[in-house]
Amino acid sequence: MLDSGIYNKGEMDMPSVDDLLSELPKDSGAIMTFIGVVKEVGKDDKKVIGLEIESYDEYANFTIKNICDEIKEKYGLSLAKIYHFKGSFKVGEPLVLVIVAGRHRKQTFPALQEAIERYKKELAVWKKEFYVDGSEEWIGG
Amino acid sequence: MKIKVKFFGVFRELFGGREREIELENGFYVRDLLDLLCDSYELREKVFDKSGRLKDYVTILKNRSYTQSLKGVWTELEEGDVVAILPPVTGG
Repeated sequence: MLDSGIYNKGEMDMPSVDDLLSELPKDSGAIMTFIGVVKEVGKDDKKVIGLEIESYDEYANFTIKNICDEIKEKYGLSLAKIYHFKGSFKVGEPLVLVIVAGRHRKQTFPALQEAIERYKKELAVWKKEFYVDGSEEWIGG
Repeated sequence: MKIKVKFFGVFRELFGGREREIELENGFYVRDLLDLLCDSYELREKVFDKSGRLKDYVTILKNRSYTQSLKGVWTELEEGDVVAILPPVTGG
């Protein structure tokens, strides 16, 4: 499985369930994934046609590694991966993939949630929305 | 001394580029750099509040360290530093 980090859109394939199962550490009894996807409703309920994702790669990769290491240790996981994609995206395309695996579901559910909350707050990544009316806006800026 | 400044998100567009190399006199602080870069009303309004303080949502990194955890805008700059000006993050 590839290292966690920032990847250009299309640089890595989304793993199938079989891919995940074949790479799952053998002491794992639960594997959970989260996929963040471009949705068609954006800021102020404006209809979105696409997104641009930009990142400060060196810094974001450093942060992703820290989050994965810390989550893995805190919850005793066998695996924690975060992949954040950058580039131009259409509605329905994946932006983020988070994978966690552990012995039991009771540790992996909260680990997955914490990994998601942390990448949202900590990663040096920015999102620009493009709307059907031709306007565009950096979110949070 | 020469330093590099990186701009991201909305700041990339406002400052007109991803990266700029700047020649400064020795003894420059982050605050001096921001004053130099914010050469229009629009830029000053985005970066500073009405009392001239850095807005809360603006994050400045010096060599990947938060200047807030160094000496804030009074962090001194040195030859070869990489300064990044970041708007609030918005992961996917």
